[in-house]
Amino acid sequence: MLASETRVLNQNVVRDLTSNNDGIRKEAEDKVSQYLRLQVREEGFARKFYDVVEVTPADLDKQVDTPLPVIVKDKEPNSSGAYTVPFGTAPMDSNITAPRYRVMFDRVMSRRYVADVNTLLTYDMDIRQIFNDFILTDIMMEEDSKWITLVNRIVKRVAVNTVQPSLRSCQWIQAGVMDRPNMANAMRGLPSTRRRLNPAVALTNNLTVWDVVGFDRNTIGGDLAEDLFVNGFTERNLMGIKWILTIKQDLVPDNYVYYVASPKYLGDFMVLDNITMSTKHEDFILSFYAYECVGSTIGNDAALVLAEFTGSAHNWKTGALL
Amino acid sequence: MGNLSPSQMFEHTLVQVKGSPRLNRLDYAARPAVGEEILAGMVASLNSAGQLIVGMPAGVQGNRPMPIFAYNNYYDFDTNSDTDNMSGGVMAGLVATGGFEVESTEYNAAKAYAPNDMLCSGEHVGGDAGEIDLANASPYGAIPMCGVVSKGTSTNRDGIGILSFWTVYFPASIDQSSSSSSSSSSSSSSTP
Repeated sequence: MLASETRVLNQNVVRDLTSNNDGIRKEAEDKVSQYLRLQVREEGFARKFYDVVEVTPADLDKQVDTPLPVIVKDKEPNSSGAYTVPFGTAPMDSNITAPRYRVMFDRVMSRRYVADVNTLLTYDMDIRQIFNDFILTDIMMEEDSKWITLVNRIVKRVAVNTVQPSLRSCQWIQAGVMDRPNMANAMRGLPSTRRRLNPAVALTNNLTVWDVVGFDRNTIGGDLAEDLFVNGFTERNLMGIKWILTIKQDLVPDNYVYYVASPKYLGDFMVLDNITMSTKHEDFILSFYAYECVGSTIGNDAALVLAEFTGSAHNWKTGALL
Repeated sequence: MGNLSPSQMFEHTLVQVKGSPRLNRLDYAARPAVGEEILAGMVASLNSAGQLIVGMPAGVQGNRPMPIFAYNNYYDFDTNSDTDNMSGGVMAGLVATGGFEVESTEYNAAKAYAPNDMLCSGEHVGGDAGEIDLANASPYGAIPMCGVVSKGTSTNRDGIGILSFWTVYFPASIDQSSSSSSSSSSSSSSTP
């Protein structure tokens, strides 16, 4: 698009956002909100591990002690097991109980940006991109930061290379240098836990993934080695699971690869208020900010492990050196 | 016959009666320090790590904690969620210099309050940290002050006693660092 065309587009966006007609202004806000919602699915990584569900007020559960929004869910119960008995033996009783958990929501919002409307008319870039850069990136950063903090709280409950008693295996190991045997060993992390889930997605940063690109044809075969050499690494499947890359190296450090089970085993990502753009116009001052209300859980602590590709490879079951 | 009383959402509250509209008021959100049981309506302040703690230490010369009146409870779901939830982690309050009249449930009900009485956090007058109390002193002395009584005490529509006051901030001017009665971790590492 030519700069002149972009400016016309920008002028239209600003004109509509500052319109005295409530209908036009609301329509403009909705358009920007839709644009942000489209981007959010592409830019944040936390949502990529879930089947994101939009919930409505009707889905919320009341609590006595708080008016805050909550959804109560059931966990899959553990069974007591079957057994062999001689003829004539009465059954053993077992109470029916199933754990429940709450999905709690909070609000994530951007800063409120304030501008003289005329200063928005001189940009040659799409003004919606400016909204995106100012607002959405920060909201996604906060969302991803909160999610990875939760992930680390779970996988790092015990020290590296240490068996997590409730899982009967390690949840965080040093996996050695990134080569084919060590990557294969890292894939054993989730199936080694007592719940024996398989990994569905891996998360690493865009620096660590170059170790994969460095694999030669003897390691990964000629076609893939050539493709990676020519085209670099794009999000693709390796060893049967999807690899997600992030540029947020402060959230996903170098040499870290998180292995995560499929969404149905992981937990919830619920959106009560999808990202919404709020604008206010007084005379020549336009202010705008965006907010969302989301809740996410990791209901199954055996649905993720962390392989740190440093040092020497360790055994997931025992934490011992391989 | 039942005799349990489940806790209710209105037991601890801070109501802004007057002051800036909600979307423009001077509030502040921060992570609560570990173990700090801050209730809505309490006086809180920031420690040297920028985390909220119960009460408002007098501080030292050149570094005096600003009173912040909490409007979340430490156990609210948006402040501190259940394990394995991603929500929560921060709580918020009204900054005392924001120019508010507020009603708080967290005050020393054993005292009598008259209009224009100066208020402080309880730890400075032998009360509970974070609970609003009578300062019984002059501003800019040994006790940092955080409010001036407006209407005084009354009972709100939920039957809970409340104290109405204007938020202000008079920092202490006498260095209490060697005899601070704060229940919380140190608020400052600055030197004059």
